[in-house]
Amino acid sequence: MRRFPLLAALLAAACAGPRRAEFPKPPPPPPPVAIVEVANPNFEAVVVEAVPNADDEGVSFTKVFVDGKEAGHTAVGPRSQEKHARLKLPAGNQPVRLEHWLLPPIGEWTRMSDALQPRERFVRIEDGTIARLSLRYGPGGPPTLALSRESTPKP
Amino acid sequence: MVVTPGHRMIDRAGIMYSWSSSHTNHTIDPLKMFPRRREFNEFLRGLTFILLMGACGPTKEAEPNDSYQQATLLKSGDKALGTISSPHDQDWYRLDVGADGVATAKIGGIKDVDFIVSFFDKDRRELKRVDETTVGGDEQLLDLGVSAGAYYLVVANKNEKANNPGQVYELRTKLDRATGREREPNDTALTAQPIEAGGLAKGHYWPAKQLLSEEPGAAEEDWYSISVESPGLFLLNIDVSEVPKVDAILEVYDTNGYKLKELDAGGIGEGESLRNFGVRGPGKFQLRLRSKYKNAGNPDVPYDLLTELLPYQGASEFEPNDQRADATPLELDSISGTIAPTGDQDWYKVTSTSETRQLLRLELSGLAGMDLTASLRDGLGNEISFIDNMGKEQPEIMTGWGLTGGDYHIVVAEKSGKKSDSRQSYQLARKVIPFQSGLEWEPNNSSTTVQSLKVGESVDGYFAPKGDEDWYEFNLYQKGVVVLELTGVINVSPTMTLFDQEYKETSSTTAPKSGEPAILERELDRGTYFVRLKPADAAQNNVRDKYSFRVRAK
Repeated sequence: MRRFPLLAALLAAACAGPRRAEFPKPPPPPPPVAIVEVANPNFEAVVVEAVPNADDEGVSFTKVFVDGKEAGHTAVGPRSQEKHARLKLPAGNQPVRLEHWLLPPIGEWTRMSDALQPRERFVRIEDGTIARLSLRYGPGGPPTLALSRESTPKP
Repeated sequence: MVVTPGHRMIDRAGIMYSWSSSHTNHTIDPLKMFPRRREFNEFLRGLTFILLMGACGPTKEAEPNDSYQQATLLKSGDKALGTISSPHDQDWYRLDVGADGVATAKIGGIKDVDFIVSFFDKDRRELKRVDETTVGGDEQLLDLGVSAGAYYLVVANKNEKANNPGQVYELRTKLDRATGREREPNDTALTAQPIEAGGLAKGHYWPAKQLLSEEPGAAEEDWYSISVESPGLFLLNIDVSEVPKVDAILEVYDTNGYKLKELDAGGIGEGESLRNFGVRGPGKFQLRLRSKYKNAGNPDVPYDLLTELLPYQGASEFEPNDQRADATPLELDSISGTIAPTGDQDWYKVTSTSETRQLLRLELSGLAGMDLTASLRDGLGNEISFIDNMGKEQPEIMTGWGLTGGDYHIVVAEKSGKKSDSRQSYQLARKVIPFQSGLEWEPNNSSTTVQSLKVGESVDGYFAPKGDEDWYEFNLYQKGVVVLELTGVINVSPTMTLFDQEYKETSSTTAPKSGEPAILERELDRGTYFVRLKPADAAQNNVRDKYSFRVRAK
């Protein structure tokens, strides 16, 4: 080795690998998305996204705000997967807003732009029924929001 | 003696064709004139001699001329006189051509003989054969493409019982310049005649039958090929003139033999026209021209095949654009197109790359004799709006549609699907404007695609297209009296209906008359409310004047 000090130095430099600054920044950890099953839910948010092509596929989830406060969220999953958030909300006419978040193939979690967020609307929460608020993203265009209601099975 | 002026023949479809000529057909009743056969034969010999001597110009066949080695030399432009000595007699004529040209050969019919005339090249490859008439009928070979060298014309008979060795037939030939002419044989894609785009080719739907085809009963067809040498996008325009008795079909094929377009808009005796057919250069394209009905042809009137190649500049449709995958990008402010052939649909693509919301407005001009419609479709081709507000010859307007990024398609068509006219073009104009608060955002035609408003805000929109209804929603955060105000619009008597957040109708009002406003005032609880605006009559619409709708708390 004494004969080839320059070679040894080069080999050592090659084995050292790139500098720390050359590594890509690791993606941020996903937001807390642990889903706790709620007993006797009276509200359900259903989110459906139509993904036009594979390049647009990513990961998404939706937060549920009631009267301006976050009350729950759907699970994180592929955009094309239907997602649900079942909640037990206080009875009454509640202003509900859904907020959609995306994790693109490259980048960080991003709140979808205001133009593509669903509007806030009132939902009457009643015992004995489940109010189902369906948010649907089609291929292009703002999302659609529809309310339906079904009776809960008696225990 | 009965003299029939001119030539005539009748094809198998029963159509009689005739052309004027100096040739006259002499029909003699020998029983009346010559009671004895000997006298008759002597007369015939004498008559033949007199005719031959009198017309010293024509070439007399030199029997034996039953094979190409014995062929009688015939100068181009000459006529030949000959006889059919037996049912199986064949008369070979050699045609020596000095330069490129187009040759024609016509033979006048004689009694008892059913002529077949063939055309061979110097290697005795049969290039064309004609047998359009029966016994006594004339035959003609047209548009024979020739170059310098020897060719052979063979006159034969098909009637086994023919027995008319005395009557002389006349075979006329003619040589014209090749410029702007069809050059037979061009009956297959392989033998397609190259033509320059931007030129004229005159040809005939003749003969009606393609006797040398392997397919029995094959009809005549003329193939042409056009080479686009330069790289880029071009528009090809093709016009085929009308020919009496013929219903033409024009087809365009690519170099792989895939049919790209078929035109059959005109009927019998009408032409065909292809406009704005998009081609990519460099490339080669083939045209196939034929008569729709077998055995229908016309040796007397030629067709004119006129082609034009123009660089594509985005200002016109790029045919074929009959389906989503072939949609012409609509990138300029306007584009022109034609409805041809019948049932034509023109697809255009508008791509919105903006992250912000935009409104698309379309204006489609009217066309004489047609009622045009426009269909707006999403990126997958699903119809999202149909515009048919006006009637025949009137323009159509799409007042505004919300774009949110991605592809949209516009399909222009004629309403009945039965009209076409390649001679007139429509204009499709587009305008993309940024969306602003206070403008209607289509689609807002249902409670799910409802447009939200805040109490105190107003919005301007259109009752268009026909059958339009506009939904708005607002949240009322405190119980109170709310006033809904809708201004009047000419030609529309609007109905305003209020729904609660569970989509139950709570109240409704209709403007008393067309053009008058509608007002609704209600005390409402806290909640979300929907308002539906629509004309009382679905046929009412107005693409010119906006309504203004306002929600306010009293």
